[in-house]
Amino acid sequence: MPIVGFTSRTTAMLDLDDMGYHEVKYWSLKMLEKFSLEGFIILQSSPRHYHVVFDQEATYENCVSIIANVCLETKNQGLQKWFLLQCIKREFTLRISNKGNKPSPKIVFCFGRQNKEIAEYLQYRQMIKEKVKKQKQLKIDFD
Amino acid sequence: MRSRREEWKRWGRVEVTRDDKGRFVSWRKIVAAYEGKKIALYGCCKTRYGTYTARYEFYGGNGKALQKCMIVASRLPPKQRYVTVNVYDFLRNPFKFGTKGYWLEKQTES
Repeated sequence: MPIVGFTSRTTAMLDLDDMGYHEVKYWSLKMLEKFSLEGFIILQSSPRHYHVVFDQEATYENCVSIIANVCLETKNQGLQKWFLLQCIKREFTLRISNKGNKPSPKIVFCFGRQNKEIAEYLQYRQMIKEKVKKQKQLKIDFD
Repeated sequence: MRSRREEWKRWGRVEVTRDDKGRFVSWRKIVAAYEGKKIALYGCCKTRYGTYTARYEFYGGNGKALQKCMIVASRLPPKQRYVTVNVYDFLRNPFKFGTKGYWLEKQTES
C-alpha cells in the first residue's frame, strides 16, 4: 500500500526526528513567537519523532524561510533532510496514514489559534483516515 | 533558440521560443501551479518500466472521488515518477497517468 500524506505550499510544517517532546514544544513556541504564527499542533508519528503544523497561512517563500530558520537553530539532521526533499518538490508533505509498523500520527499538544491552516489540515486528515479505514475493510471483505 | 515570457491579449501569459535570428519557433501557455492543498500517495513501486519511488499528488474533488482515486491509485502505480493530477481527470482516464504494477512495502521518505 502506498503512504498517504497531506501536501501544502502555504502551511509551515516541521518534521522533527530524534527529538524529545519538551524540546519539540520549546522550538515550536520559539518559532511561534518569532514569526507570529498564531498557533500550532504537535503530532507524534512514532516515539521521539514529531510533526508540527502551524496555523498562520504564509507564502511559499516565507514557509521556506521559517523552516530554514528552525533547521539552522535546532541542527536536527532529520529535519534538514526532510527540508531538502521538500525544497526539491517546492511543496511540504507530512504523512497521515500508517507507514509499515508505524501508526498514523496522533495529536499530543495544541496551542493558540486553530481555525485556519490547522483546521484545513485536520479536515483532510479526518477524511483520509476514514477513507483508508474503509479501504482496509473493503480489502478484508474481498479477501 | 531563446525563450522569453510575453503577455498575449488572447492567451494571457505565454512562453515564446524564437531562433537566433529572431524568427518565431513555438509558444506555450504558462499555467499557474495549483496553490491549494493536495493529497499525496507515495511509495516504491514495481511496473513494467522498472522499480522506482513514485508519487501521485491529487487535488480538487470531494471525499467520495478522492476515495475512488485512492483505490484506483493503489492498484495503478504512476507511469512517471511525479504525477500531479486533478481527481476527476484521473478518474476519467486512470491509464493515462498510471500503469499496471504494484506498490512495494519498502519505506520511502516524504
